[in-house]
Amino acid sequence: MSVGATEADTAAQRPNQQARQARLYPTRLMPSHTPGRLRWMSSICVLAIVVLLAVTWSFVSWAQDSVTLIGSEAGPRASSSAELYHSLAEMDNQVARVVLIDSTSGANGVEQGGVEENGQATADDDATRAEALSVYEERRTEANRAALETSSLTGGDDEAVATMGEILDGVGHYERLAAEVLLLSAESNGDEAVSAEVRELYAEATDHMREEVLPKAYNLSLESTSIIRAANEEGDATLRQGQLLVALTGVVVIATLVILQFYVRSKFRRRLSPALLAASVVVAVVAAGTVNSLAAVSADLRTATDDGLDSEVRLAQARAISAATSGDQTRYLIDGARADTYEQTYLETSQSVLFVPGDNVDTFAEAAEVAVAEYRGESHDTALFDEILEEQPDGMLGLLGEHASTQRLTAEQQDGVENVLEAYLQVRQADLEMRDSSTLLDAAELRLDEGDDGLAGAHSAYEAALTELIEIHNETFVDAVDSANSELSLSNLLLPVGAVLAAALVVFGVRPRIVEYTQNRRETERDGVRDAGHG
Amino acid sequence: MPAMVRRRYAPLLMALALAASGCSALAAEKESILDQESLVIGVKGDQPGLGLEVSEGEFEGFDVDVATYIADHLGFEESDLRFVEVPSAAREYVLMKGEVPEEELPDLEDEVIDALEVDEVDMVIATYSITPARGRMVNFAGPYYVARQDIMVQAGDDSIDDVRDLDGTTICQGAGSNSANRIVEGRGVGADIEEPPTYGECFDLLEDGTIDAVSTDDLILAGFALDNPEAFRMVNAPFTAERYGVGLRQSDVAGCEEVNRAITSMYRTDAANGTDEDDDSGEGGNSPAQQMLEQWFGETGLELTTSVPQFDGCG
Repeated sequence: MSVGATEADTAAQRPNQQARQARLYPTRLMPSHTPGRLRWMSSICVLAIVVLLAVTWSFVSWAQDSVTLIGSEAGPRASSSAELYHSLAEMDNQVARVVLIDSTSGANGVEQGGVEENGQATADDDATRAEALSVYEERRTEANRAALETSSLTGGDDEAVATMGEILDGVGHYERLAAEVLLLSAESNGDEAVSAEVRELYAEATDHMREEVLPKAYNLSLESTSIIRAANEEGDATLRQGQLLVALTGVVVIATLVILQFYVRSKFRRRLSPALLAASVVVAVVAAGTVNSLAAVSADLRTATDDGLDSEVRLAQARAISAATSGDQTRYLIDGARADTYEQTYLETSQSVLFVPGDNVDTFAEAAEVAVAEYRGESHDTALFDEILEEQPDGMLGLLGEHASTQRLTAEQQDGVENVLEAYLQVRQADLEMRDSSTLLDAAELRLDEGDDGLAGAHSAYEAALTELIEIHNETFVDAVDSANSELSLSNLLLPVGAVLAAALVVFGVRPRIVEYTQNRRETERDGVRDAGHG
Repeated sequence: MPAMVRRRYAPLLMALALAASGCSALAAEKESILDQESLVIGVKGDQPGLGLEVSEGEFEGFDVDVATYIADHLGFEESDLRFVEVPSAAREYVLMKGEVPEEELPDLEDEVIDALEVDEVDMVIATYSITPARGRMVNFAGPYYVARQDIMVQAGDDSIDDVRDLDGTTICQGAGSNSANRIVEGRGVGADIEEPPTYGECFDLLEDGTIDAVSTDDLILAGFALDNPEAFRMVNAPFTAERYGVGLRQSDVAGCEEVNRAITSMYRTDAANGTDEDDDSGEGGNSPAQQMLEQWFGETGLELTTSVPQFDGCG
């Protein structure tokens, strides 16, 4: 508006101006003079920035909750409840081991065929018995620790809390029975290797553990993995939505800034306000950065679950169940009346770890050898393998079998799996040797032998290989969760900083213009008054 | 002009946002049972105590009670449920129909297909043992009970106390069953096998002494003996585990997990579940599972397991 324009000219120009302005912003809602409009528009921009902050913040904190749930709660709980199962099964195994040692150490007056000649053997047996008891104590401590850890992670989940209570009650009951068994076993002096009293009491104890306690621990582990699965599914969808919404909001905010830019440019005939430009850049960075973060966190959660936790828990479950089968091998020897049942249970439980067809332990071991050889690309009896394939087109099944054949594995993980399978076969072989022994003493010796050829030794090697593999997957899990957490803490820092910076830049960009405009107006008015005064 | 650009593309952006949210729902093969309004449940029709058709469309038995409990836990009313008989051979078939292409359905004899009253079933609770091979075709929740193979003899017969005592005897199994083979081939016991069409007939033969023993899942044995409990004796020397699972569609992982939760609460006492406010029967100390088991099998002298079984996990 030039000085000295007539009323009529101004009036004539106004519709054009308004028409021009109407295309960019609603005029009716806005104050009619420029400083007011500037303040109004910049307020809109700042408001939009606040909205962007709210949107990004809500998705980032949602993502953080997700990562916490999977990384610090349900995830560790799935592992620790599998650990609990393992420790409890091992406790029961040690009790069985002590009973076995007692039954073959001469404590029960059974003819040992010269082993007792110089009392040395008895001392060794005492040492082994003492060792078994101390391992029992170790496992009990482990079980307590696992129970404590699992309990600490059940906060808010009434079902899980109730289950933990039931498990602890059950363990207490078991310990009372076990203490009696150990006492009786040490004292018994009957003709049989294992007295009927000890046998029955032990049967009661192991049944209680197997039927009342262990299933609850296992089911708790499964429940935790199902929470994770559901969280991941929901997480994928929400984070995708989040990326879209953040991008959209970012675009809207930049649009408001661009409009403000244009207004300033048209009103003040400057090219571009650097402050407003900087604000747009900051907003773009914040929005794009958040979209990127959400995508990265989503990918990290996927890695953490698919490549890390799923495998880790499945293998931990396999290790836990294998502990139970190891005990079945001991129980087979101490309880003649139930030997068939224990052999059958051993077979069925082994098959839940690695499933190949087999009606009894011999055919099963054979089929397992062939299936593993095929998996490792080694030579094997192709006729037998074809038979297996006919019954089972998918090859190996079971926890370990499915893990080996369906999971996407790195080279290191692949090596680990092959080691585990190899060790698994060793255990089956040693087991068959044990069952083929002619006397109880020979069988017991094989069962307790910690050397490479013995069953106890084979089982230790197998567990060690499994533990190594579990560690590998656990590392993947922990690394991915850490990556997600650091991504999010970065966002947590940059979001408010970015928003405040952008808002400040808007104010910084607009305020001088307002001041300038107001000063111009005053000068114009003063000049006008002077002119009018002169005129 | 920014405003015009915004206006033209706004609907597209909104559509994208909606699509993103709807994407996950479209990905499933078939909807989960959790999203359904009604359920078709497959049970046995010829196993007393477990699944027995008493009149047209009306079934009763332990399996039926378990199914009703689970459905109730999932939020279904009794009127939303429909029970149908599913023969053993067709259990995978009816769960997979509608979810996989025709070529991938398991082979089934025409007469079995003709005898089927429905093509598709949502849930199967029919003494359906969990095996890894079946697990590749359907999703198993549970097991809801672990039965064991056991032996039933005449009430006065004390000569048989475990599997080994069956050497030299005649045992009976229903046509198509595998129980006797487990004894003869699995355990290497020398016994003769009679194989009439049904287990009902096995029991008739046992009653009049034509055969020495019947061997199959203990719940099935107990159910058949219900008619005449004093005539028979359960040996109580179990030697295998039959894990009875709830068969669901392979893709329904969420449904499987929820059924597992239902089974877990089924084995909790009513007091622990917080549902015993109206209980006057004095059975407040027992879980629903225990009540059901005792109702159907309490008189048969069977040792029942009343603690929750170890689940397999949902694939």
